[in-house]
Amino acid sequence: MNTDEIRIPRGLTRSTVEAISREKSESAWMRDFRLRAFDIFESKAMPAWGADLSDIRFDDFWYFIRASGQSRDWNDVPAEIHSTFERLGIPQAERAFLAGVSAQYESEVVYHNLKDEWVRKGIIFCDTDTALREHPELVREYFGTVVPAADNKFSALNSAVWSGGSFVYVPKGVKAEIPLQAYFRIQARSMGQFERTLIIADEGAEVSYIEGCTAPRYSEAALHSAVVEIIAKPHSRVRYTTVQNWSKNVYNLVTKRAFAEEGAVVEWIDGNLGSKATMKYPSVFLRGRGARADILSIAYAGAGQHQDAGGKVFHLAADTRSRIISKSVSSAGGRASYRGMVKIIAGAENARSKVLCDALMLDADSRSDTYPVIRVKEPTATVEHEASVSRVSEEQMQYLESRGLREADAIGLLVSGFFDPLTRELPLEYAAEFNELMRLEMEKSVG
Amino acid sequence: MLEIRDLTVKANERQILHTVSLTIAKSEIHAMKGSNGSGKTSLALSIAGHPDYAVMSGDIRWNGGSILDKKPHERARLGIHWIGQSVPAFDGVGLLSVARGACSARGKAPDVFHLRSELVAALKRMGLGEDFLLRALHGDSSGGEKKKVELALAAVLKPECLILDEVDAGLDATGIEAAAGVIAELAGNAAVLVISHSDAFIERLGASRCYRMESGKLIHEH
Repeated sequence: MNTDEIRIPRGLTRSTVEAISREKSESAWMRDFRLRAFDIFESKAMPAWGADLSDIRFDDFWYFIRASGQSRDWNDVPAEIHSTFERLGIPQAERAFLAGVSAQYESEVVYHNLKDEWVRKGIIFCDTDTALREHPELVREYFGTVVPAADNKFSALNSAVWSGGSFVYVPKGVKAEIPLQAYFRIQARSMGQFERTLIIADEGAEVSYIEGCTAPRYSEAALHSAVVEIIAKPHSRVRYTTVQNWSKNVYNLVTKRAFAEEGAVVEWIDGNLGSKATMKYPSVFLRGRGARADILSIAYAGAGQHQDAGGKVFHLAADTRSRIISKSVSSAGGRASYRGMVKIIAGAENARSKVLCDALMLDADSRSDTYPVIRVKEPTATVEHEASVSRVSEEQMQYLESRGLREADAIGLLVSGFFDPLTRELPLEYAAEFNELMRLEMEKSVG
Repeated sequence: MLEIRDLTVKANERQILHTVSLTIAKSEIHAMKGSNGSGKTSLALSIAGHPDYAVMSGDIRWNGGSILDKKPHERARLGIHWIGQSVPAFDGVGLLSVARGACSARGKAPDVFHLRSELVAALKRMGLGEDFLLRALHGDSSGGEKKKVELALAAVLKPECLILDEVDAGLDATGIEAAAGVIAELAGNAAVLVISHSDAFIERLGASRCYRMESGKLIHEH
């Protein structure tokens, strides 16, 4: 352990929560918010559905670590992660950051150039702890309004012990032309297991935010429980892209929700590749007339993984539109589940929703499940739901192998094609890395 | 040189090829005709290494060595390129990705921009636009367009052995001309076996030998 590192003792009690708040020198309202959340966490049972979480021992975790400088030795990083970095051709500085060996990804120059541009436009983009210190009123106005602590056990946990995450505010009418990438901003000390992200797009504003990366991120901590809140004010547009590739010891339990006001558009693009178990259902509350939600949920479940992912949309106003596309691949005994909900309340006239679920199973040992819930109380609403489960076609394999591709490369290409709706939406470097990663995964599973 | 020696093949518990023999040297085009179900496609698939076709006796040799123990991708890496009667449509996988995979498999690390421009030129030669690079491979394409795309890919990969199973079927008149041009050019450095029902196409290719398949037996016509 680094001597400059600050750790609050392992385990979760009221005093852990108080110590976190004290360590951050937070104001009373945030400390009280955390403590109320802790009580809610204590009172809520573990979810009895979704992934198997029975191995989680809350008292085994560290809930606050503040590293300064190097926080881990290269020798502590598993050989498999080293080898994947090598094969993906990840630059050394980036590898160190992803593995938690360096505290900061060295992209300072890029970050500072972008920062000038954001400041000029009045955009605030910083970590949430900094936002709480520097923009307390703005944070207080919106924090916890979209995902209340009482929403579920893990939103309560996050609310009690959160650290880091991103804060974004885009003023009225401002268009952030370059996507905001957490990658450029992130420091290890602000990037933890319990990130709290809050994005506010004021009226007519536009912003695209990208977090995560396709390369594997090694974490010793076996629990990642984040909360993301988005407020899309009238006629604004927010796109939130995540590519998650946690190491396969991690439980990834995330609550992501957006409020979309009149004429606003919210897009969630959510790619889940890593972790032992993921439970994540990005959702949108369409609260104003003509608001729109687009959710693209992608999951890859390999050996020993359970990806329980999907999306939820609540149509609370007239002329609202939503589309949920879920694509999952399960291989080598992995399990992928789509879990989604579309709810249209009475009075949400002419609301329209479309749900498409495609699952690809690469072998007989793998599993794919679909749990769609659709509740419609408005007679003028239209809801479509299509689902398909398929296997790799023998004809396609025969064709690709006769073009010289080995079995693993052929399956990798087919899987990349299946995930094309995601890669098409990603920046080029992410997409190339994603495809290469799929090829490596297939090599591991096909042998 | 492709040599097939006394090849007997079984599929679905049925003997479908009986002691078939032929030899195609580099720069030669041989043609094969025969009624439906006579065994022409079975021979093509046996050469390509399709797992459903079990060789009971005889041999398939390429450049002096037996390829019977080679898997389909290993045969392709030796330069044997098969275009089937029907080709599957893909979802999200484009021609460029397949071409890249095929080039890498053959040990040529392709420069993507160069490969792309070669494919565009080959598609143009087959009368197709650049949009065929952008769409999913064989998705939303007619039968004739699929054949043209396959010939364009072959023109870029430049295999040393080309097995073409009814590649002319579904092609329009200009497509036939373009196909014949590509095949003739590839034959400059390849052994080519063309399966077709069209005497005119075979004549247009100037095949040096012609066979007829009848109930799994190969009859040498000239």
